[in-house]
Amino acid sequence: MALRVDYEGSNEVGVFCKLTNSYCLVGIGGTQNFYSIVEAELAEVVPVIHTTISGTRIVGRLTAGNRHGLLVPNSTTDQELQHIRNALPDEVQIRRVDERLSALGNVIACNDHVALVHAEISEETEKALQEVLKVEVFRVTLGQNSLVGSYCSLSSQGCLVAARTPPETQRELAALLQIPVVAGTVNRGSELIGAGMCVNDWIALTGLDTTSTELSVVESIFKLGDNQPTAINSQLRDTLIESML
Amino acid sequence: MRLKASYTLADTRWLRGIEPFQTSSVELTSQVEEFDPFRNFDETSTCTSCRIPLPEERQGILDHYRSDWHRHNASRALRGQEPLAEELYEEEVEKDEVSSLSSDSDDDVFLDRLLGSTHEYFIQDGQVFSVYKCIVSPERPLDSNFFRMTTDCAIFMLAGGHFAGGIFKRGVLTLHKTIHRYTVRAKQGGAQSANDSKNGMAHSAGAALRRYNERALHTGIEGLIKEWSAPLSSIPLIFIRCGSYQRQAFFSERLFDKNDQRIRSFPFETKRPSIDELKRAYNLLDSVFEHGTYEKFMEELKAAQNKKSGVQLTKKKKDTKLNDIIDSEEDEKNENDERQRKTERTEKKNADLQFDKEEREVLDPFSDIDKQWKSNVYAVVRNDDPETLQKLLETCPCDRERAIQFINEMAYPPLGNTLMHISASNGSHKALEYLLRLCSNLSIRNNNGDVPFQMSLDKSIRLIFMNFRANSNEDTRIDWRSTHIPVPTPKAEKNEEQLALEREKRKLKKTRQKENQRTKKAEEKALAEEAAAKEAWLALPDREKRARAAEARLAVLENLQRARCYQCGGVLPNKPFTYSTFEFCAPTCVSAHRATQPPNKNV
Repeated sequence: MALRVDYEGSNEVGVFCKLTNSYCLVGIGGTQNFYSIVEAELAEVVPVIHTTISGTRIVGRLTAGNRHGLLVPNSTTDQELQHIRNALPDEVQIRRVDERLSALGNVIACNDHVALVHAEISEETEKALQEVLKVEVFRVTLGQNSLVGSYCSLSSQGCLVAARTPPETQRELAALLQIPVVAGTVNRGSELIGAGMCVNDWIALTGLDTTSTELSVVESIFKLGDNQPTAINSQLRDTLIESML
Repeated sequence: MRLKASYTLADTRWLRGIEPFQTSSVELTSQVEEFDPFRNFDETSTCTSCRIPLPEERQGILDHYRSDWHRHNASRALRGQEPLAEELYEEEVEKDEVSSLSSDSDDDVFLDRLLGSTHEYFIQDGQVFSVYKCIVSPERPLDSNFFRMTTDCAIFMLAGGHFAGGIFKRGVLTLHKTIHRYTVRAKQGGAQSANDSKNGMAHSAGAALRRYNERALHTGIEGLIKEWSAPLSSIPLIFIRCGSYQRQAFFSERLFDKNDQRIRSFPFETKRPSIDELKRAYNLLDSVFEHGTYEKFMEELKAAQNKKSGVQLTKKKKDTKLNDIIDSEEDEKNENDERQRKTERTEKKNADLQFDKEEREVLDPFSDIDKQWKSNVYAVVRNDDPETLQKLLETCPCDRERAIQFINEMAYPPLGNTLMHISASNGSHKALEYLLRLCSNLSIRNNNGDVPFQMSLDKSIRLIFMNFRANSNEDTRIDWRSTHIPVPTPKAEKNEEQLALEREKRKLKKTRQKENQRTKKAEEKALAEEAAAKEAWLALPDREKRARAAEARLAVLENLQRARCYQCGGVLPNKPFTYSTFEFCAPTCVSAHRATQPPNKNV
């Protein structure tokens, strides 16, 4: 299911929200409207954690995480770290990394298995990604866009990249991720996919301006729709019909 | 970088030929290849950073993306550079150890930036020279032929009502003209036009004069440029120096074109426009700067670069220290492996940076003691657990003296607190008492200049210190003055009984005070009543007074009440002063009464 939401009039929900399969971070200071939508959809399944990172509410852009863990920048205060650690499920690791490119969300795009990272992140961060998030790390650039976290968004089912990403890069990504990759936009033509939406394996949140065409692309690539073709009515259909005859 | 102008462009040595200057030995192509979605269209996927087909199996892909070659190419791609082929990259690594790390490959770009934008560099006979970039133009690029031509140029300077213009041909000032007009506001400074546009037109005579002069100066310059239009048209370079508000003097449809490629500004400071200044500027533009040999010059550049990045380095160092502290506070689960990783990392850094290592050694004079043991001691003091500390002391890997010295003197970053400071500021009573028994150094100061006593968390900790002093005040080994612990007084040793006694005393004092206050209030009240009675008595006519007096006398007889003075109303003494039937308290009252009542008048 893909939802259109807005965060205090902004379309860039991926900036203020970090969504993974085992937790969801949201920035403090949003409207109750946003919180109630997120909590109505997620609160029964995963913890929704209201927090700041180094005093700012752009938690989605400053952190990188997946089901296994969470990386926060070095500027995160001890208090925030403690709060997040208390709120996260026990099996989720959290680590503070000393990275020059401190907006980790902008330079790292990851799902539960693979991370695409900016070409110049430090080796220590790469190691932290392997240990904490338990992912394979690939240094790539998306055509002219080096900020992989801002310009693409991925779940275990698929990957959506900025519309102007060259086809050969898309093929490369598909080979690395082993999932379908498609180029598209969100929020009525915005190329900032990672900043404009957040996604996990069962739900996607996009900005309020997202058109229904964009939304249907999101639903199909991340396999979120209710009417997805299942194995029974696609691959097994012929076999079943044959057996009935 | 200090510069020395050592040669002129006209020097014959340049005719021997020059080589271009490059910071790196590889030729970098800065052109970005456009992505063409329809090029190389086949089904196999490629690594876009390295332009090689991806291996079939997963492990191959992983290995490629982890290789230094891929990382180098990925960061080249960030800067829009073409990827290096694997063999080329290997050669580079072997040749001058280019950067297996991404941060090192910034060097070329960084050096280029350090060189600055004002100079153009070249090499002759292994020596580095430079000329001002502004005299190099597309028609006259910096090569061997550059020095065969002379620097012909026109120079115009306009500042504060002074104008100087000249045309140099073959090194000689062929045409020149200076104009001076009174345009700058006396004492205030600034141009009249600027003031007019800010504060409105001033109506003073001086303002009108300056306005006129400004116009005259501009028409003068305009006339001059028109007059020189023929020689100017063949001049390859025009240098103009003027304030932004004066640009209209040079740039209008009748004068110079704003987009004229020949027009430059000066890359150095110029003084008041004059003929001499024109010549000085020309000589500077026409000179060549010497930078020593290529190797020395590159070394200097690298040094300058290190100086710039040194700031970041020290910052990083501080962070690791801080992290060490924070780590120890984090919960035990992560503590051990986290610290191990940190120390591993710092060790790695130490290996990389010689001076870092030296500083580290200065920081830790107890490097001979086992690290694990040291961290255990710290943890035990933090946890306020003297029994374990005792055990640790017994099982210490070095001799006991050294261990006690470590406990006494080890200063932990960032504040340089010793274990004593730490236990005092944490309020760890038991650990502190144990440390005191170990005879720790009480007058050691941390980086803020505080001794352990000053770090005491609360009164109870201070009491521990004071009791210690009371018990061992005779110990002459300790310099008690520098420990800041106060001299033991009986007050410091008060027991419960004494405290109770004191409390009782205080209570008594309080009740006494209260009583005093009450009596004072009662007195005041009595006085007020007396005054009211007096008033009432005086208000009565004498007849009434007499009647009252009689009553009073009766009352005195009956109730031992007293009669009052007829004049002032005061209480009469036992034997009142009397005349006629009147009674008074004092002779003054008698005379006063007599004065108002003449004696002949019978009452």
